[in-house]
Amino acid sequence: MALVTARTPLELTSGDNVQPQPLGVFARPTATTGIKGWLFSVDHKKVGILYGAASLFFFLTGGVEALLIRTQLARPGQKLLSADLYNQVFTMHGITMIFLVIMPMIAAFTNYLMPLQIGARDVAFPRLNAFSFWCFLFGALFLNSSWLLGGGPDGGWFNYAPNSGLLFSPSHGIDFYALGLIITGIASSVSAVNLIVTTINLRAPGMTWSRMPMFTWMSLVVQFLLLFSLPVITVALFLLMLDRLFGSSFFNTALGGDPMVWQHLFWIFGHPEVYILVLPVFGIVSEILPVFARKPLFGYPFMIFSGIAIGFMGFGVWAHHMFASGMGPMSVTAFSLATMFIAVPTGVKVLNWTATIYGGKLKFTTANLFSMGLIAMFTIGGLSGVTHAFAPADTQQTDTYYIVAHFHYVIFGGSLLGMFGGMYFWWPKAFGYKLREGLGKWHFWIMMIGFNLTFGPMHILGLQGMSRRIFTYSANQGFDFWNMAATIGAFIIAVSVAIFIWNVWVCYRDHRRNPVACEPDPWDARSLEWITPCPTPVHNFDTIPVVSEVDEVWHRKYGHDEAGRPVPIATRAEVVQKGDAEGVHLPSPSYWPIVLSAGLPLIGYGLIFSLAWAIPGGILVLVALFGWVMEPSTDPDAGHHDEHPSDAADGGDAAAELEGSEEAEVADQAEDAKTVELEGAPVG
Amino acid sequence: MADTADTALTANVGAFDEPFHQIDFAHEGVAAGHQTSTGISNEKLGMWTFLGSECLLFGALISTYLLYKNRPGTITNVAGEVVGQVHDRISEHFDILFTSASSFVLLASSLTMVFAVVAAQRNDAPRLRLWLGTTAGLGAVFIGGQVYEFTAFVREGFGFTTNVSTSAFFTLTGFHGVHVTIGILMLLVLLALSLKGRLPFTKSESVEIIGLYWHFVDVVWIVIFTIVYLIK
Amino acid sequence: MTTIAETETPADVHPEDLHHDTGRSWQVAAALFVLTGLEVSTYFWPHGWHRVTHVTLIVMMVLKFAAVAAFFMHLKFDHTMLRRLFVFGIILAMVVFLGVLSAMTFWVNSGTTDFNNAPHERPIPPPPTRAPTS
Repeated sequence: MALVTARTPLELTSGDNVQPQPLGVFARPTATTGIKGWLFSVDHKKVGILYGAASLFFFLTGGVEALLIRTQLARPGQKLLSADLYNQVFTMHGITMIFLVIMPMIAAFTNYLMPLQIGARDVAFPRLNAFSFWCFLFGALFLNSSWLLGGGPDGGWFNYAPNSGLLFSPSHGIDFYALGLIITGIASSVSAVNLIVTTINLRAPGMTWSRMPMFTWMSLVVQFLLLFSLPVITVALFLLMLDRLFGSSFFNTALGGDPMVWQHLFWIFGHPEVYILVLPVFGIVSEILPVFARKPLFGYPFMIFSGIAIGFMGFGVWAHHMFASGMGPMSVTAFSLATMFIAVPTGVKVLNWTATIYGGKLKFTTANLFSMGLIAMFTIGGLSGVTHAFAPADTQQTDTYYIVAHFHYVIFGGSLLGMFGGMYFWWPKAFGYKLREGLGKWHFWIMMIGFNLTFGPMHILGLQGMSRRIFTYSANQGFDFWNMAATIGAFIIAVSVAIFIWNVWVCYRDHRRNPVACEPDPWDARSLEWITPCPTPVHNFDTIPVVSEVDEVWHRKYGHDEAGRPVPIATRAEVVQKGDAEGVHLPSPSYWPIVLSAGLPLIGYGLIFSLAWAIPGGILVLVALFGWVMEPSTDPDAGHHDEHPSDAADGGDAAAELEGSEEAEVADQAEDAKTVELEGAPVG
Repeated sequence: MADTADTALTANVGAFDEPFHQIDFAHEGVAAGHQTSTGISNEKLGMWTFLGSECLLFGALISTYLLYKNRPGTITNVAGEVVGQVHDRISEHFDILFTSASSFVLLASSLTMVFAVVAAQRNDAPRLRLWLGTTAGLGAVFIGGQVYEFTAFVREGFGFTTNVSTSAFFTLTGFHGVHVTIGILMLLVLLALSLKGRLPFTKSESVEIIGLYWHFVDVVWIVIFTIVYLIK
Repeated sequence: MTTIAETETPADVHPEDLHHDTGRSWQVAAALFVLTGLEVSTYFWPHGWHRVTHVTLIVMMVLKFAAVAAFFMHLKFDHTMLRRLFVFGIILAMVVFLGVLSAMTFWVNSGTTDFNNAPHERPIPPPPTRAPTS
């Protein structure tokens, strides 16, 4: 406190110019380019791109793990991986793909697009947003560091007790799992609060609930799912950590614990998580299809309500993962029925997409191909999912490759295909150049072939009785042929991913050589983010648009003739803003998000190995919190030198600017309090 | 949901219909919240969202305790053979009268928190400091009581690892205690900011927001006190 | 200070806030204290009353919870969206965890109710005997 520059707020009311004195206790970063511009940025677009880059990196990691699994299973009796190592590899493959690939990739899209789609300049709490990313990244690295520190977690991504106990998993892998997922969970919770507040509070004038783009709607639903489901898994992971590191026996049957508690808590989170992975992608597809069908989305309100219904019902079906756990016929019946019902809103979505395409002037761009691929593949995965809803059938399918086939069809065929489509669609928005369509179509078709060759046969293998999570099988079981097919398919997927990376590299190189930004609104698109030029300028909007339609940008470009056919009324160049506004105040960069998140893994190492590690971690967290609280989110020194004719006349305005920015800290602190609490509880 | 928000939006169109440099980002975050789509400030909405999430956190902890509170009994090994007995459960050793006193203290702190918020809204800095200090002090008394209670249990032979009922009990009440401690820290930060003159009237809402957190912690204790301590 | 007070009005000073004065807080606090006293008194109620005791305790808990949320946390006078957010969280938590608790207690295969008996535990009817031929 002593370091704070003494200043009474009364000085500001006179309307005098603000004296350039730093309000924080430490100097704050100023760089907006280069590596520092990325590390300390709080710009939602940069944070979004960082999320995307990190998730692609982990996608390659998880992909290598998948190839290891498939190589091990290619032929009977393979000895590439030992049983123990195989356990670690498939566990980390699951954890990586779910928590470190799909979720951050969704966060990438949401961070980048949602503020643009609602007409905001940034998210509600920009520094918390940066904190979410760094917290996720450090948590993810912490989780993966287990490979070097005695072996990864080996109990499957759901880590059922008693396998997760010390008796059956004596390495530190599952400790890394518990603490790593708590850290990434903090990131997602903070991000959920942030994005919910942003969507509710920072919409442009006229952007009512019934005019919000579908992607924003679906990501809002998903943020609520995260908000309400993450605390439950946090508690479960906490109990697991207490069991393993502090000697309690919550999940130790021998000492009165109950493994069913873990299963319930895990799946109360785990089932909404499934919708967390797929709903935003439904939003992405609902954005892409109308653009390339040149028709409005069919049944927009139904799409919203079915999304909300999926979100609601997602909390009422968790126990269908537990039909084989012996929880009693009454529970099984109830959850079986609920699960059958949840197929209804999902079906509504698929039918509405189909109706959107029907009769449209389809343009088969890569983005559209991926979207339509999603409809087909997700429908297959959804239908095999309905077969699990019937408890007697599910008893047969539980823990077989049929389940593996099902969830890869919904997560890979649903989430991942849609997100590749989204990348092709929004790449020009984020980077100012398109990815090549030719290579993109190769990517799509090879990926589709590889995907179906890998996961299609798993339905057969599962029904033949091949168990999940076995590290090998013998030659006389009849699994040889389809396993080999699946392995070949997995390598075909790897080829398609290589094509994607090549595509990104080639286009980046060309853009570097000839840095001409692509035309604005290259797809003749519909929603509000396309009103900004490509790539999006740092201040997003020159003027905040006033919204009057669902597909605002489309309606600014096209009117209707008597027959209802669209007629151009303005060119794209007229509609799209120039992006040359100056003097827009933006949230200033800050050191504290990255410093605060760097402390958390250290505390994690401290809990696992020796509390000595936790001391620097704790100091980092405390210093970062102190600096954070003392620092206004918008630096009053930066960007204050442009003309503000109104400021001199309106003294209160300047005061609000200065003080209001600081207002965020105290509430931010409450959010951070959760961080401290989560880390501090086992000690205290 | 739609009606209220939409009305607020229409009302706000005027406010947004200005040259861009008057509605830039720094203004959008102002404490008054007059320029957000709903009229609620970002910070307050964020706090309520967070509290909604906390309901699930404590829900999970309370249900874990309820499932485990009667679990002690025979201890079996992996093969199912009985290897020991747990003599009794922690709930039979609650000192209800002592905990009642703690509950009254926490309730009183909620009342003083209300006074602090009122003082902040009335721009009454001395009273604001008085009530912030009192609230933090009452919170500290509560925490002191909890520490005493825990040590008493440990002295009676109920440690964290004694059996699942004690583990669940200590985890639940420990989580709540950590929440109270964080609340005390935030109150002290507010107090320090006020003493430094950095908590002006325009920022009185931050007192209210920390107050929301404080009341929530109190509300959680109301539930814990009834469900854990009083219902046998 | 007064200058700021005239030009800048914090969001929380709505007309409704006039209701929210110290007097009301005292009343609410008094009610809370009385309820808590009653709650503690149940500790001395006879053991035979446990059903009544439990119901009373739950009712009092709900009343206290509602009083703090509505008046101290200002929910009664504040934006409806805040109320919906919080109430949604509470109701979701209650529904989900009542689901867990019931699934793990009286819906398990404990044989306490008829429909929970697994088929093989039911008495097996005697095999049909062949009718005597004559």
